[in-house]
Formats: sequence, structure tokens, C-alpha cells
Amino acid sequence: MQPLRSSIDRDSQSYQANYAWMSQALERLRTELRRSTQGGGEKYVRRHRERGRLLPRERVEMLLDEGSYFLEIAPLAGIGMENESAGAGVIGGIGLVSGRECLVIANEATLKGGATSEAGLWKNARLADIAVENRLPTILLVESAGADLPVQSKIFVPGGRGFREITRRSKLRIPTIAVVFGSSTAGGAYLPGMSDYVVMVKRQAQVFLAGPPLVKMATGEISDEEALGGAEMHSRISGLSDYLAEDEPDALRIARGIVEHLKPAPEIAARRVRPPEPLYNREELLGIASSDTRVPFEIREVIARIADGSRFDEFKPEYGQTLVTGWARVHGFSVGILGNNGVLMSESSGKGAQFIQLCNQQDIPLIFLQNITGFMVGRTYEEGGIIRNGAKLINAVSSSTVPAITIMVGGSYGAGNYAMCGRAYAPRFLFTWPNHRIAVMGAQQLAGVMDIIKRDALAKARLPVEEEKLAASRQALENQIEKESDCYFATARLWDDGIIDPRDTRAILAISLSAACNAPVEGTMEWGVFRH
Amino acid sequence: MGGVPPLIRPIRKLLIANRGEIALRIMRTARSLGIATVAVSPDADERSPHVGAADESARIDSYLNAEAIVAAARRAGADAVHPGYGFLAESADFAAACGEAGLVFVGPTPDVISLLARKTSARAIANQAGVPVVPMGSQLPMLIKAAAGGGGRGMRIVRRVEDVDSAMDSARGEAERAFGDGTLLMERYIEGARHVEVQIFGDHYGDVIHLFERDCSVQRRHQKIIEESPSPAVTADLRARMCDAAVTLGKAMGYTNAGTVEFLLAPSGEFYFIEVNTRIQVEHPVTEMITGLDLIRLQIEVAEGRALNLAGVEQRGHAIEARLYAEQPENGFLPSTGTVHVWEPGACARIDSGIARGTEVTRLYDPLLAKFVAWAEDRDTAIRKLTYALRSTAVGGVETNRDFLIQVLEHEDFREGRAHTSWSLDYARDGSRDEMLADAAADYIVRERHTSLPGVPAYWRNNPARDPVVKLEIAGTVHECRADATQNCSVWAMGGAYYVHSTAGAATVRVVPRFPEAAPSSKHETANSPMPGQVLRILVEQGQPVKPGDALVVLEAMKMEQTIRAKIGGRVAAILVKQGQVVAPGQMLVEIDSRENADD
Repeated sequence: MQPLRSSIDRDSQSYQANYAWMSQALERLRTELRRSTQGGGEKYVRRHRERGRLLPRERVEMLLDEGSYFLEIAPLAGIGMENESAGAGVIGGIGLVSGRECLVIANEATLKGGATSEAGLWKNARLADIAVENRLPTILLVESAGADLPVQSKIFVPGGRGFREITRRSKLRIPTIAVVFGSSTAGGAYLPGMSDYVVMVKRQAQVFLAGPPLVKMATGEISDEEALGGAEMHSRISGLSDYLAEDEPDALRIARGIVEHLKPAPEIAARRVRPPEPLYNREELLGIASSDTRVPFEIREVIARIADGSRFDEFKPEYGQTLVTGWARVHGFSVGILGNNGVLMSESSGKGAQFIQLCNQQDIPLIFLQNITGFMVGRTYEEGGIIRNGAKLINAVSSSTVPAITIMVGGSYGAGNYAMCGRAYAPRFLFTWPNHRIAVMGAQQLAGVMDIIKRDALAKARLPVEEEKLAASRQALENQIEKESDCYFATARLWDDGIIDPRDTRAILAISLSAACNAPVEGTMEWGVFRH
Repeated sequence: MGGVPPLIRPIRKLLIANRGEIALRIMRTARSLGIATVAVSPDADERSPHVGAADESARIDSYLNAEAIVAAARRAGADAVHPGYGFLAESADFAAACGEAGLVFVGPTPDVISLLARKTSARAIANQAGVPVVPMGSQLPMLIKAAAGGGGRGMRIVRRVEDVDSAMDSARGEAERAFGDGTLLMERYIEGARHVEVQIFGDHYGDVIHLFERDCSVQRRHQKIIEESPSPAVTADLRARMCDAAVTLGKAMGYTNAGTVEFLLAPSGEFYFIEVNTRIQVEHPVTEMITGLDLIRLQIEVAEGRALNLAGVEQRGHAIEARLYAEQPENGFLPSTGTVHVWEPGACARIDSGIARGTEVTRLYDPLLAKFVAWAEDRDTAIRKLTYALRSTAVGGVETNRDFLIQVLEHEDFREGRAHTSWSLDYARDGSRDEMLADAAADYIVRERHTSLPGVPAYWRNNPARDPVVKLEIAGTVHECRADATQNCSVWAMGGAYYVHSTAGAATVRVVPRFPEAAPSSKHETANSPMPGQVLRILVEQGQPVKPGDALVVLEAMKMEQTIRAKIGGRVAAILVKQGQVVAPGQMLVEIDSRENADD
């Protein structure tokens, strides 16, 4: 394998402009992330601490191995949405517990008492998908008031799935450990109820179907919370709790002990060797990634900064050049990379489909570097079978069974999003760079299309064209689409697993690949009918 | 006395009846003279550096077994024995045994040694020679010391009448334990006195010369830690008088080989004889550096029967020595033990050390690890060089007095030459410095921690909420550390501990386990019924103390007897059931309170 040769010009105006733009975008990202870690704000954090409790993030840190990474999933879910906070009241991610990769999910207890919001529900569902697809043992650090009652209509019915998923994972031999630090009542009681292992913290855990007021209303019985659903009651009498923890650290110690005796994860040689770093500085990604999705950039410059030793063995380099395909190693993991270098054509689509089949044949995971404005349009291309050929790529992406990880390094428009393994095509993980924009098409084009359609309709109805009104509505639509194409709009809705610093791409790919390898990596040779 | 000048008997093979830095120091000179060396050691000490450094070595059971050492010297074909200091260095019997076995003893004659070993006879000689001695008697303040003593053991200063008896008792006990002789001397205690000694040398031709003074006033627990020459308190005139007195004394008894005449120098300028040390001193390098002589070489040459030929030796420049001890200055200078895991001697000074990486420091031997000696044209520069040498030296694995020495050297009293024998430094660990060292260790520890993905940095986060906190312990204090790479520290990891060194200080750092051993933290426990049943017997009474595992109640359930035992120790606070009572699962039977535990 030959190393790629970089040919960027760090003094160029475009590099400098991109770098400046990205630096500013990262500043905002850091600010938003920092905000997302502050729970329900100072007052509630203080109140929580005054009760002698660890903050949810401290629980996560204490649960993880010392030195372990923690890849947080969707840390900005719900950002900017009504009734939501950045992070959606849930902390979830992948880290090492007793040397084993686990999915850790903690309720943000200082935010509305850890109650579940609508975005929180989406996030929990996404985390459940990650657990099952990658066969990751799951540790729930529970302290939640249950459903966010004012928005119960959005949560109650779909929320049931979460409990079903725990038990379905159990059936697939993917264990769930629930550590109950506080309230876990009503529906929430089924979190420990369905889990394989339950640890409860003395004098803190409260697990019951109905609290003392509701019990009194229902049956007239007078009771207190400790007797009704305390850790000691559940550990000694009801048997809902398997382990009685003296305090929070003890509970986390017990959870770590449980993980220790789980069946070990598959051995992966790639994880043990220190990989060669890329030859080029990852810092330069900030100047390479185009801040304007209309301006293309060389995807090999990105590959040169994420592949081990910058080595990349390109497949079909002379054919269908708008899609770059080839093999590399990332942190020792052998991968097939597909990266956009322009608009998708018939040739590049066919090449991509072939490459995906080859990777499946050899059980090689895929990395999609998505920067796509869509498939080529126009009469020549329609005649050339752009749909038929594009369908091949979408077919291959749909049927592929090797783990796929998608990084949105620029634009994601139209069917290009599907063909390059967008969210609906179930990549194991999907992360975006801050310059990422996503929509069915560009805001300008979309508003322009709507303008043409409106004019046609007016003409058909023989109505006069009110230019001013039309221009205003065109502008309003463009603004709306522009706003909805933003990466924060996307990440709030769980369209991705998080916005990342481009410099972290390599580490994130490593953790994602490593996590994915907890499930057997098996490609398929079964495909839908390709339209030839 | 004085002795008949013997023939010159060149030494070819020298047995060194010692260990540590002095054994290595003697070997260095011996080797430079082409003399082969024989080391001795008990089995337990055979891995010490001196054994490996010698040409050959022999096993003995103890450094104090004169017979075994003489036998070893004979077996090895040695023609001379150098005793070093300590152990048998001032044993007249040993010197005699060497002579009887035909071995040259590198030191004074047995007669002189035994005469000077007793403080009473030494005082008599001084009196005869007209050298002033400290007045005896029970006038306060008073100094009590062991007649057979040395090294500060059995020594007490008494300032109040009511303390005399207890001081005598404790000094006598200590003297008996240390020297097997509880005889005590009482001298007038001179407040603010300095310890100034004169190096003398005598040959077998009646010549006794002096090699100027050493000021050893800085002491802790009556033991020297810093020595220098010239003394900042000695004028040229005083020097001449003190050195003359020392030579007079030496000549009076026909002194041969190296000796040290110790004086107390009162603030008034009067000086008093204390004793003569009939051996090479720990602090001899100070004299070597101001005179340019090799005292071990002189010792060997005198022992061979050569005449001293030292006319025109001058005291040039200023030399200071500091003794690096394995001890805990913040804990009453108690000796510390351990394995030397880190030993990186610094620059800018002569370092005579007896340790290497892996050396075991035990309670069996003197805790002196190394001597640092700096020389310069002037005192200030010498102090600066010595400080630099200590600062740039890293020792890990045993606690040392390094930081204490640095503080002494930098103290105004010392810099201005005001330190006397009872001067001392209030020393405590510097908390903020320890914090800095702990932060540096945390940085090392954090970097060291890698995970199953070796390419991903430790503690990697895509959403970093806060820096990793590492709880570290230094000398019993726990520090919550954030990794700080900006500290200019070196860190070594060995056997679960981290040795942090910086020019500002050093520390042994240990990681505090995140999850301490699980122990029931509750002070109050109830023994509960595991299943429905009937109380058969109650085995305890209210208020009765119980240990974990003690039987409390016997239940009958499912036709089987089941004994309910205590989970924690304490007292039975309450018995909540009666014999014959039917109990439900989980029902509390006995309450135990551990808060009274301390009474037991």
C-alpha cells in the first residue's frame, strides 16, 4: 500500500478561510457541548450535591475504567427544540468497564428530575439500537422521575419500546445492568424490572409502581417511600434488587464486578497494536473541509489524515472518479473507504456498488465519507440510466451487512444521502463535521423550484404574478430550508450520532470500529436484484 | 609511645571491613594505588554495591565480628585491613587482632585507640597537654553523655533541676543498649556552641600534622548533617591556636594515622576539647577538597610505614558537605527503609555514594546514602553548588532528607554562618509543593493509562465535561490532582509507586484506589429472617457485645434449624422477637449497633 501524497497549500486563501471558519464553528461546538454537560443548571446541581449524590457524569466517570475513552452519542440531541435541552436529559456513550466495551446510559437527574422528554425517547431508542447492533452490554445508571408528564402524549405509547428492547437484548445474550441511584417509579420501575442485573443504592433507590400519595388514593394504605420501594426492601424482601449497595461508589464497584464475569468480547488483534499515525497533521482537516458546501474539496486529503500511515490502496482509480474507493487501515482495523469527490455519476455509482460487494465478500467494514450534492441531473444523464445505476449503489448499501460508519464531511443532499449510507441506511455510527449541511436539496434550489411551480400554477389559473409577494415567499422558504439544513437542526433530531471536531475523526472511527467488532463482522453475498 | 619506625611494608591486598559509601571510597583509592581489594558482607548484604565493586569478596556473619573478618583477610591473602568508620573502626581489640594475625591495621595503634575510646582518659590526656576541656560537674545547663559513647547516643541536655534524674535514667538506658556501658559523664552545657574539629595525621616517625578545621555545627539529633571548611566562625588566629592544640595533643600520645580532635567553640571564642575520633571521618572529603589531598591514600601510606611529607599544605577555597540520609525529616528524622528505585546523582558536586538502583535500605545499617561535597573559591558559591547538586539529584524508593538539606542550605542563619549545634529548622512538608508534584505524577499516570485501543489517548472524550481527576497520596495526605504536564518534573514508576523529582522537591506518590475495600459502612445493622419460620432460641442478650459471625438467633423453618449470625461487630441494641414467635421473611430479629465498638 502506498501512502497518499498531500498537496494542500496552507497559505492559500481558501485554506485560510476554511480554517478560520471551522475554528469559529468549533468554538461554538465546544460552547454548546459545555452547556450540555451542565445538567439542570447550577441550582439543581447544587441541590443534587447537597443530597450527597454524585452527578450523573461523575457516576459515568467512576463506572468507566481509569483512562478509558468515552464516545458520547448524540450529546446535543434536542438542542434548540421546544421543551428540550441539549443532550435531552440522557447521557449515553461507549466506554470501557472492567476492560469490556459497554454502552453506558445515565439519566441527567438534575434536569427535570431525570424525566424523559420526546428527544430523550429518540435518544434512548438510538442507544438501544447501538446496544443491539454492536452487541454491547448495557449499563443503566437510573435516577429518573419517569415521563415528562406535560408531554406524556408524545412519550407514553412509543416509550414502551424501551422496556421491550431490554428483554429482547437479554434473549440475544446482550445483558443489561441497571444501577438504581434514585427514583425509578411507575413505568420507570420496569427499567430494573426488565434488566438482567439490578443494583440498588441503600437509602437512595426508590422503585415502586405507585408512590405513597397514589397508593393512599388507590387503596387508602398509608406507607412511606423506603418501605414501599427502598433498596433494602427490594434486596431483602421483593427480590427485585440483586445487589444492595452501601452507597453510590459501592454500587458502581458492584456493576464493574458484574461486567467482569460476563463472557468476554471477541478478540480483535487490531486493538492491541499501536498503529502508525497518518503522515499528515490532522489539524489541517480544518483548512481542507470546505465551509461552503458548493465548493468541492479533494477527499483523498481527508483519507490521508485518517488512514494509518496515510496508506490507501485505491480501487478503480481511473474509473468513475467522482467516487473514491479503496482499502486502508484505521487504528489497525482493515476498512473499505468510499468518499465523494464530486457529484455521483452512473460510472461512480456502479463502481461504488462493486466495491461494497467486494468488501462484503471479505468481511471488511465500510467507511463512508459523505460530501454529496446528489446524483447528476439532466437529459444526457437520465438517458444514460443515472437512476438505474444509482439504484445499484443504493441496493448495495441497503443489503450490505458489514459494519458501516458514515462521516458527513460536507453536504448531504438528495438521494446522495441514501447512496452514501445516510441515517435511513442504518450505518452503525454516523457523525458529522460542523460544516455539514443536510436537506433534500440546497435551500436556494428548493426555493427556486417552488417559485417555478408557483408561477406555473398562476399561469395555468391565468392569475397575475405578484412579483413582490412571490419574492418574499421565496426568500422566506429559502431562509427556512437554510435553517433546517444546519447541522445543529440535524443533530437535535437524532439524524446523526453527534457533531464532531474533524480532528477527532480518526479516534472516533477507531472507537466505532472497535465497538462494531463486538458483533461478528460478516459480509453478505445476498443482494436484491441489481438493475443492469 | 610513638613506636619504633617500622620498615616500609607495601600493601598489596586490602580488606575493607565496612560497607556502603566508605567501603567504595576506600576501594577507589586502593585501586588508584594498584592495591587489590577484598569486600566482606553478610549474606543478606551481598547484593550491596561495595561487594560488586571489590576485586573479591568474602562472607562474614556480621560487620562486627572481628574474628570472622580477620579470618577472611587471612583466607583472602590480604596484608592489610581498613576499618572505615563505625562498626569496628574504633575497636582496639580489632586493631590488636589484626596485628596479631600479621595484618596491617589502617589506623592508630590499639593502645592509642583504647586510651581515647574512654572519654575520661581522653580528658585526662588533654588536661596534661594543656588543652582546655569542658568543665565537668552538675552546674546547669548540663550535658549528660555516655562515657563510651559517640554519635549522639546517650546524650541529653538538661536545663532544669527537676529533669536531671529522668535524663540520667534515659541516657543510661540508651548508653547501655548502644555501648553495653551505662557510665555517664556530666559536663557544663555551653549554649550556642559550635562543633569545630581539627583533622590530624601522625606517622610512625613522630611527626603529627594538622589539616585544618571542619565546622560540623549543623546537626540533627546530635548527628552531623552538614560540614564545612573553613569554619565561618574561626579567625586565622583562632585557627592557629586550635590546630596547635590538636597537634600538641596528637604528639603527646604519639598519634599515628588519621584522627580528628573535636572541640566545642563557645560564642566567646573559647574552645574546649571534646574527644578524639581515632578513624577516618565521614566528613573527610571536606578536608580533601580544601587541601587537594587524598586522606585515604595518606592513611594507607602511613600504614605502610611511609613518612608524612606534607610541608606547605594550604587551606584553599571553601568546601561543604551535606549528608543524604534515608530518613523522614517531617517525622522526627526516623530512618526510612525501602528499595532504591531511582538514583540519579546530580551535577556540580563530588558525590560519594553507597547506593545504586535496586539497593535495599534496611534498618540493619546506618541510613547514610551519599555525601555531597562542593568546593568553590568562596563559601557562597560552594553553598550554591551544593544546593544545585542536591536539587538535581533524584532519589526514589526511600524517603530522604534531601529537601530538608536544601532548606538548611538556603536558610539565612546558615548562609550567614550563625548555625550552632542546637540550631534547628522547623521542617514540615510543603503542601503546595506536594500538590505540584502530585499534579505532575497525575500527568504521568494519565498518559501511562492506555486502553484496548492503544492509538486513542487515555481519557479521550468527544464531550469533555471535566479533566480526569486522579487521587494521589503523598506522605499520608490525599491530593485530588488534575494532570499537569507543565511541571518540570521527572517521574519514575516502580512497584506500584511513583517517584516524582523536581528541583523544588521530591515525593513518593501512590494512587488512592477508586473503590476502597468494601466494608459495611453502616453503624447499625439488623439481622433479618431469610424465610418464614419460628424462633427456636435467642442466643444473645441486650447489650451483649458481638463479633461478625456470632450466632444470634436460631430459627426453625421448613423443618430445618437455621442460625442467624451477626454481619457486623458491635453490641446488641435490641431483640425484636420472642422465643416461639412466628416470623415473616425479612422480619427484623436483632438490632446491632457498632458505634459502641470502640469500648471493646
